[in-house]
Amino acid sequence: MSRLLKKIIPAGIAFLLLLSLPVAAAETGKAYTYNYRQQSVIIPDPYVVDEVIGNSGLKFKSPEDLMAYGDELYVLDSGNHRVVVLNSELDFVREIRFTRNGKPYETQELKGFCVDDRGIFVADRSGQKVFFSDYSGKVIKEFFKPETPLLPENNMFLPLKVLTDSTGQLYILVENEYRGAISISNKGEFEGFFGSSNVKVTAALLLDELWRSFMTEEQRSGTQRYLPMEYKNFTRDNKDFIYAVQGTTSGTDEPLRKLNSQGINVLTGRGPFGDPNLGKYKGKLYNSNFISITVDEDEFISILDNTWNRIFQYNREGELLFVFGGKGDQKGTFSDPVDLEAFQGRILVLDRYFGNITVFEPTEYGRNIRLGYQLYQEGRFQASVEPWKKVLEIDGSCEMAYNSIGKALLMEKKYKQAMEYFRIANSKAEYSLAFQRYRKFFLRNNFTWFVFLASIVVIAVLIIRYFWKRNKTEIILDNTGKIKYLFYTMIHPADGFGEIRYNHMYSYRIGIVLMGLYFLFNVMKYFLDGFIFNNNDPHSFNLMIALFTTLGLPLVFTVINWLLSSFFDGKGKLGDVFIVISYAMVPLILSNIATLVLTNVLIMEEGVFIKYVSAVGTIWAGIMAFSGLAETHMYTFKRNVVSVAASGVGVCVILFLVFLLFNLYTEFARFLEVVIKEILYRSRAGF
Amino acid sequence: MFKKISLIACLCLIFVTTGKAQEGLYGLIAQENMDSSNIDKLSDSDFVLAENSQYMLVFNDTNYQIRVKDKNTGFWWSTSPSDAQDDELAEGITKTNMLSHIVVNYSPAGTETRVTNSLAGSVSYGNAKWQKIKDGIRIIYNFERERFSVPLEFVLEKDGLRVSILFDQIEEDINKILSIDLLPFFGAARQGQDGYLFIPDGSGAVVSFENLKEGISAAYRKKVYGEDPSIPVLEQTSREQKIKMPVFGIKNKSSGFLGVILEGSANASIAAGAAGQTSSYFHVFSSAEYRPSGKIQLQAQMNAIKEVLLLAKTPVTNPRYTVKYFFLHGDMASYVGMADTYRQLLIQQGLNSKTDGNPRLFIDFYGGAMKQKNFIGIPYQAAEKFTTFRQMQSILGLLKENGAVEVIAGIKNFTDSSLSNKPELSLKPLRTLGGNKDLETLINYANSNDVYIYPHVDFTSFKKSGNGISKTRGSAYSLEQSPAKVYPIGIATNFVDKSRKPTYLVKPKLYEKSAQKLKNNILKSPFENLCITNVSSHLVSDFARNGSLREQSMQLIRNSLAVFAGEYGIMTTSPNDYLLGISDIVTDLPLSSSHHIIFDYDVPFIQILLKGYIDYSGEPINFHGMTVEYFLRHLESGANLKFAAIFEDSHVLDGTDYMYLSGATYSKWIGKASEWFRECERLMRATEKSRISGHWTDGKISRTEYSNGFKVYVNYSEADSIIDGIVVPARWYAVKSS
Repeated sequence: MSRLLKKIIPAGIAFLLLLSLPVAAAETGKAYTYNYRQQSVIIPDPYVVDEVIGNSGLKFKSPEDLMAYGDELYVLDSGNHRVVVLNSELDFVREIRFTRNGKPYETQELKGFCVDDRGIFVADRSGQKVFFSDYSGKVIKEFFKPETPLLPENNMFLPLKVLTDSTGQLYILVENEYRGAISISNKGEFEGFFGSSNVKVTAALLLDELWRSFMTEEQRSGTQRYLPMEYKNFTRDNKDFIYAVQGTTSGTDEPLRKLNSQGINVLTGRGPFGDPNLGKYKGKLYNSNFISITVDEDEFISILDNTWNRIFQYNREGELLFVFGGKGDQKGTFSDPVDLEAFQGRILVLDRYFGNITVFEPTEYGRNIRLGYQLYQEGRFQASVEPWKKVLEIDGSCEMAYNSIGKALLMEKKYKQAMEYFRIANSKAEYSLAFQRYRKFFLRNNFTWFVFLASIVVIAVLIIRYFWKRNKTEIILDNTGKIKYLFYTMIHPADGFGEIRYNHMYSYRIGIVLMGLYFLFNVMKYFLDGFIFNNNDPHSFNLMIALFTTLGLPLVFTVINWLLSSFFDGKGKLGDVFIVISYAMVPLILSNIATLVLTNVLIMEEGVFIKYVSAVGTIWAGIMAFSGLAETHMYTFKRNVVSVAASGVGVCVILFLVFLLFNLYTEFARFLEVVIKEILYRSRAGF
Repeated sequence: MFKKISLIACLCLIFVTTGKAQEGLYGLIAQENMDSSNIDKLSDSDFVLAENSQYMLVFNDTNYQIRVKDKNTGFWWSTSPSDAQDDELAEGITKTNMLSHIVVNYSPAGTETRVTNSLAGSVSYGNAKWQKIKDGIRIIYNFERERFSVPLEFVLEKDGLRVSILFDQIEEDINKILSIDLLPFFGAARQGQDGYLFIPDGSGAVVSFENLKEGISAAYRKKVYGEDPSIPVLEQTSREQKIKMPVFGIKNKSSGFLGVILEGSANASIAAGAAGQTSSYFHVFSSAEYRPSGKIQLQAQMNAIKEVLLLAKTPVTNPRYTVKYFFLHGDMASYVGMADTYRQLLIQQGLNSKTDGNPRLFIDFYGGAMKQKNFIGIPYQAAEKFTTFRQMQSILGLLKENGAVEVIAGIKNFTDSSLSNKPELSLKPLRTLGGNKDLETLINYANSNDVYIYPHVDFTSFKKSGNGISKTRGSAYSLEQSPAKVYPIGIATNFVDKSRKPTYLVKPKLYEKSAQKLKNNILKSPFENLCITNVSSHLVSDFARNGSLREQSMQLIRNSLAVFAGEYGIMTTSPNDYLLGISDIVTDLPLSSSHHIIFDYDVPFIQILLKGYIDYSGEPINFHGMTVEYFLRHLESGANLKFAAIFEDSHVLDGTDYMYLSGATYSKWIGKASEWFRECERLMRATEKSRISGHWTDGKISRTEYSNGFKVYVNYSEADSIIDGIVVPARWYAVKSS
């Protein structure tokens, strides 16, 4: 590969990674967020550790759950079968040990609990029960597996988490229960499943359940019919919305749900939920795993992931603010985090393995981001400018800051500036809006100029037409008349291709130029299409792919079609087919030019015109190629259809082979590398 | 027939040679303990081996415990805690580690690692032998089952105890020794006693004896001078500060010690544990790497990867691994005293005072970076300007207007080599930034305005071959005997990203030649100073056949920098301690530790050591989110402020490797910076060339005392507080003159 090519092929997406070597700078903090290209970007710490408590005196043993209630923090200290209560300074207040009739109450595996104004609900997994005690630990009531045909007798009842809402309804998350949370009324009756929008307790479901009970294990496993999601944890805000997480963030469209009282998800934000592309390492595929969730007083949602022990914070719509935390033995990283809880402006994370609670406090930067989002959500764009400007002072890459300031500018009718901000933030819809206003404003202010320009264009066209008709321009530009034939074929493909073949009025040079132009305009479109319609990443342009898609495919098609012509008694030579295919590029080039202009002057809502233009171009090109091939090979219509279809199949086969060979090659190279490595290792290790 | 005979002959030969090897090994065991009848005794089994006016060295020949009595305080320093037997927490090997002088990590046939210690592997079988030497003792630990032996020497000196592992007399057989923990529980203390462990992580950290660390299984262990870049890490979950100095210490009431690794520091680690973790003791110690090793990945099956341990062919070359324990008492028994003690040692090795006490403002200008651009849709790579030389000058002018007196201006990324990631062996300025002409104007401006220009230069790492150094012949080799490649690690993935270009490391043996070449190439350029980056904080092994291990590389680095000494003012970035003597000024010093979970709070140990000797700055404040806390750290530790600067708005960074400069645009920070550096200058003027003579902190409030009596109080908490009768405002500071 030439040096030039190496220069042209992009060095890859650069900034999402830390250089572990010379850049001391990047070693600060471990917080990041995702930009619009879904690349991770380092940001200053939004939260920092205030303190870590629990390793001196409290002696937690495998704690499982945290719950803020009033001014106090309750800790479910499962290994010690107790609940520890801490005050707002996180100092020890009291411990609660469970008793019944004055005797210690036996518990086995406490996994989750919930404190409300009646007392404490606790889920005992191996004990297969949920029990309710008062604040002193006196157990008042026990809930065992509800008696209902919906819960088959031979299935174990393994409660993991419990939650109550303001009406006193009790929700229980049970292991291996895909139908949502078990909902129990405050009278203690089973009311069905909550949060699984498409599963309701109906006669049909009961029938189905009955039917399934007759099936063998094998048959049943084949009929997993209503498995929307298995919730791993849930929480509730003060408006009685229930937020639930579903564990792994891959393969589901809603890893996070905000459920209203009907159990319907009302979240609109796009996340990203979890790390979108953690990739594969040592043969293992990594995905974020959401295991706990908390909502703070400003309605920001924080979620705990236990793949890399991170905390993802979202706004109330579900847009990602930032990610912090991590795996390790530094303060602010965790070994086996199991729960998190928002408590008086702080975020607490419970580590089961270390038996401690890490207390995070927002930094000024974090506070400003949160304030900015809050004001933005309330529609107070102008007010949000101040915190966002402070954010930009220390982190000039914050997209949301540019977006918000852009909105404020839009309201101040500073369209041009607003467009700049929206462009940096990659907010296409907002940009389109600003552009629409700007365009209107621009057209109105420059109306006379447009009239003037339009009249000049009209006059120029008339003059050219005049000379063209008198064959003067034609002689200069097209002394052989071949270009004229090119345009003739566009309007009369069948006749045109026949005539140029017969009269030898074709030119390979024109064909090559046309292919070149097609490639050029495609690359131009990649970079220069208007912002609103351009979803290409300028940093990941790949020349090889561009060459292949614009030139490779038509050329492969040309060769295949020519090769197949012998089967169909085609008369065309390779050159003839090339002429047809390359001449058929003209409508594509024209539509490329037209869309290149249109994408720069139209707004989002008018985007449909661009689609029309390119559709017209494509169909036109298709007709040209089709009738041209028929003419060249002297096919009947039917034979031509078959030939074109066969060529299409042929192209696919070739593509498949190329792909296969490429794969084989890389696989072989990897194999060689492994063998050499292994030999070296064996020779070093001496066995 | 002939074949058979030769086969038998070969077998005989192998048999005889292995027999010889075994003889060598067990020859040591045949050595008898020397006649001990003429040694003074404290009791039946306690021998007084050496005594001077300050200390007494005592050895117990039944449990092999060694104790030193500090006659100033009456305190007994012991290799294992006296009540170790009663530890209710310790289990398994920890129980015997507590009573051992060494814990040995070894690898049978290079596949896995195993652990043994001197009590369980040697003393309990009666295989340990000792003999008295002048002022001390030599103990030979024979590990019969593991088939190796390790000799130790303890020598009492007038200011402390010198303990060595005699590397050149270690004998081993099939089991290869990887590393040896030395005196893991020396001076170990239980909870509640007034004292702490000092750990040199980053700026320094303290593990207080007040707080238990129950339930935390993660102990602290970290390589001195950072990991070896030639043994690439494949995954990294956290980013941490490095250890810059081979020291550690314990304070216990009015006594204390500072351990200094005198020989073998380049291959040492420092480790610590807190009470409540695996034992009831707080302890800190050093560990000597005897044979470098690293994990490599082999493909086991299609998608399964096996990690195996690869050992270096030869052990390290230093004949001894030596730790000197300086015993301290009274006021000296503190981390300030430890810093004083260590400074004395560095002064003996060539550190001298280079400060005039003037306040300085540090700036790092970034010239530009390579970026993909397009011309009517045709993409190409070109330099993106961040700051031209003229713009640097105008920013400097603005800083001066805002009250900066003296400015140390580093300039980075301004040459073709640095932008294209070749080894930097010349400093020819890019034409797009203004070329030679504008650079000279900048330097002229600097010379007449108390601004000192330091071009950053890194001649020890590269991504592209060039300037006479190639990837295959010019770079350091990894354990796999191929050029070591350092890949970047993804922020989100935590794994190496092999789709990115790796960094190669220049062979340490070429350092001096490269430095010489660089010096020749910049003879005519107007620079008077140099800022040495990368090599200042990285210590590289070259595992090639004629390579150099870290201990040698250390010397090679010093030699290469000596090329510039005297002729150029030298600034080093985040230097390891062996470069302090050669540095005129240092920058990017860590102002905090890695916040390991067992640490209680950070202390500015490095700054206490340097204050009054060499001027220093922290890392750029705008890389730390411009937080008040980070600014206050400077005031606590007497550091000058530093900012990273670019002229352009931050979205020029999009698509470059420099997204982390998103807070560097000068217009964004210059306001706050002016306010802050005026505060900082006021402080520097008051302290002048004084040393830091006292320091106290509880993690929220700190007091720094200077030798001229000036005191600085810093309050990191959210509430005002009163200390020594002075009100320190919340998240701000206060001062008190003598």
